[in-house]
Amino acid sequence: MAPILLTPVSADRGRNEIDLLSIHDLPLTSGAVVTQPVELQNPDPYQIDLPYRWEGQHPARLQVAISGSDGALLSEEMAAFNNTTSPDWLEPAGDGSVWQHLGAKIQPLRVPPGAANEIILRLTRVDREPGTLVLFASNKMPATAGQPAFSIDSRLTMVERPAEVLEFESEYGKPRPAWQKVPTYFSRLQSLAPPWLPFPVPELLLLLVVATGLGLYILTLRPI
Amino acid sequence: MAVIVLALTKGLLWAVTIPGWYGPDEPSHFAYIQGIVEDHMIPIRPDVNASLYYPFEIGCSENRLGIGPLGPFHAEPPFGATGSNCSQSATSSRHASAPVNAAASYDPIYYLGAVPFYLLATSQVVETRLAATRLWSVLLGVLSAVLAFLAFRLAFEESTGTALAATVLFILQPMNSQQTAVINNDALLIALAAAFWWRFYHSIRYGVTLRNAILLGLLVGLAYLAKPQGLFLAATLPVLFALTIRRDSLGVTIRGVARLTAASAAPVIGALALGQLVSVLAGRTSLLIPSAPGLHGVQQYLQAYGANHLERVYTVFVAGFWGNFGWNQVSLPDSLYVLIVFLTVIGLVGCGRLLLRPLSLRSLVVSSAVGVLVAAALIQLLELYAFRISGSLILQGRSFLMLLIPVIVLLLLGWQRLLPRAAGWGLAPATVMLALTLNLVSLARMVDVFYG
Repeated sequence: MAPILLTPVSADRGRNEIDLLSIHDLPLTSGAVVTQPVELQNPDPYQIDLPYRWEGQHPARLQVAISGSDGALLSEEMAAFNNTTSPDWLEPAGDGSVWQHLGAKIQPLRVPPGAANEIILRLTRVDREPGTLVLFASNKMPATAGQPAFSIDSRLTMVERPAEVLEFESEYGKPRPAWQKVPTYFSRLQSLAPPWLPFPVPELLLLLVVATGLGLYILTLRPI
Repeated sequence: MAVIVLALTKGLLWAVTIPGWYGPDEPSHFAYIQGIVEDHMIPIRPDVNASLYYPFEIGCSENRLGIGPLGPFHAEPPFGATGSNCSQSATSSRHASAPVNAAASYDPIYYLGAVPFYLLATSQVVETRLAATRLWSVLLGVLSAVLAFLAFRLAFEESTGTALAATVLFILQPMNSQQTAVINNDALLIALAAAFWWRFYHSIRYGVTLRNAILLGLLVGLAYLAKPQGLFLAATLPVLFALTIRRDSLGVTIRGVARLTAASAAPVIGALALGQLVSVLAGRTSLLIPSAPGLHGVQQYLQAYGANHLERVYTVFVAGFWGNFGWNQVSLPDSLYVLIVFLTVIGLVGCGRLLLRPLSLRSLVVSSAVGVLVAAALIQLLELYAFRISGSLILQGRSFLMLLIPVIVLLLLGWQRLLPRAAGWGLAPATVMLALTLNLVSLARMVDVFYG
């Protein structure tokens, strides 16, 4: 439990950004460019998480430029994308999860302070390593006649590929240990709880599970 | 009493932690129940696009809870983002536009049991009705915990502590926790299977009677009506009868096994006939869409399991059986899966060593192992059958949860065998602590993905 509680987590994540139903490889050869508009969903954006796959010996390098929707450059930096192959002892076989199946890892890209509403993420591969760096994309679902408004895919597409969306997830707020976010977790959970489980019943349920579990632990310590 | 408190509090906690509609196939199972109450009918046609025909309020509610056009597979509730675009009139629509449902091939036994819980909140919004209906699965989870305790008491007659630890592992097994907290007919199958294994181990201990054989058959029949793979529990019965019957002579033994098998088969055949009757009366059709002949043979099936370093084997029997939650959005940490594999292998090695010695535990090990292997093999064959017809791989790890009780018996017996005698006292508390930690880690992972 301790590693989970100490893991740094951001205050919030972007919603409805990744589509696992039509996810596919987006190969990026040396010199290739990808430009993806990103609609920020909250104030205080912190980073963009970019899934990728890279099996080269040395890190692949990308120039990451972030500009505002008016075209003004907000930041420009180099990012190194390390090899994504995991040791066999940790992943003796894929666990069936999408990212593991795709052999992907996540590269965080820092969003400059002051970015708001919409930013343009421009990625240029600048290394000369042999091999293809793979990013991931999904298809923008076309709207059909009579389709309910809530089910329309409103994501912004890549400039170079107008029918596809780069797979990424935005994060908001500076990361802090997960235990510090426990009140947020509880308040969000509480907001979806049914009326017969008002505050603090879910919290008490958790305490009761832990207490009963520990009680049973003590009970089994004695010969019965 | 502690078992009931743990099962109930854990069930309620999981039911409130997994957001509405985030249980696997939950919209379909809920729409089935809602159709019985609001439209007075059961669905007759399964369809992969069945959600198009569900009451509009379900789609709206899914959208409110973050499941949008991109499907549920990487969705989280939005919290503070813009709300649903559904109008008030749309959200009040409770009626399906056609009797089409992805769960239409299932008999209505689980869904009819859920109706009173739906009615408890009938005047409420759809999310509240969904939460109320989940209580049916939670209660089935409590029932299965009690029945599992009775089964483990018989399997570990010499140690109540081990039986208690086995029950705690059963209650807190993460996938079992999910399936008895969301709307899904797995919950009823798990409860009926727990009753089956209780009577199974009772027969191992005290010998099988005609009455017990009929009861076992009845439980298999009900399990079949809950979910078709429940039928495969029946395959363990002839083995049970052969192991437990008094062996006066070969002829008497064969006649005895045949008599008990016939007695247990009667209610199973009755359940099959009842299921068929409901199917004919309702005019149900098959979900499997035939693929072109020759495309999906045994070789392709084996290839699907062998590809990517046996990825599907690992997905089904490790990740999917222990911890791929929601619509597979939430997974346990890799290192935990490795630990689970390690402990399972240790347990099986211990069982193997038990078989090598003439011990009183041998019949318990053999019957549990045969029970697991035969039923699991038949479930696998069912998938092969579906694959040959349609090319679909239908199994998930949770498809094998009805075998959780004998699996736990085997693991604990195996661990017990390998532990030095002086350290044997520690097995039960270590199992309880392991199960509690596993459950809390699962909850923490879900909370971070769904509410982070």
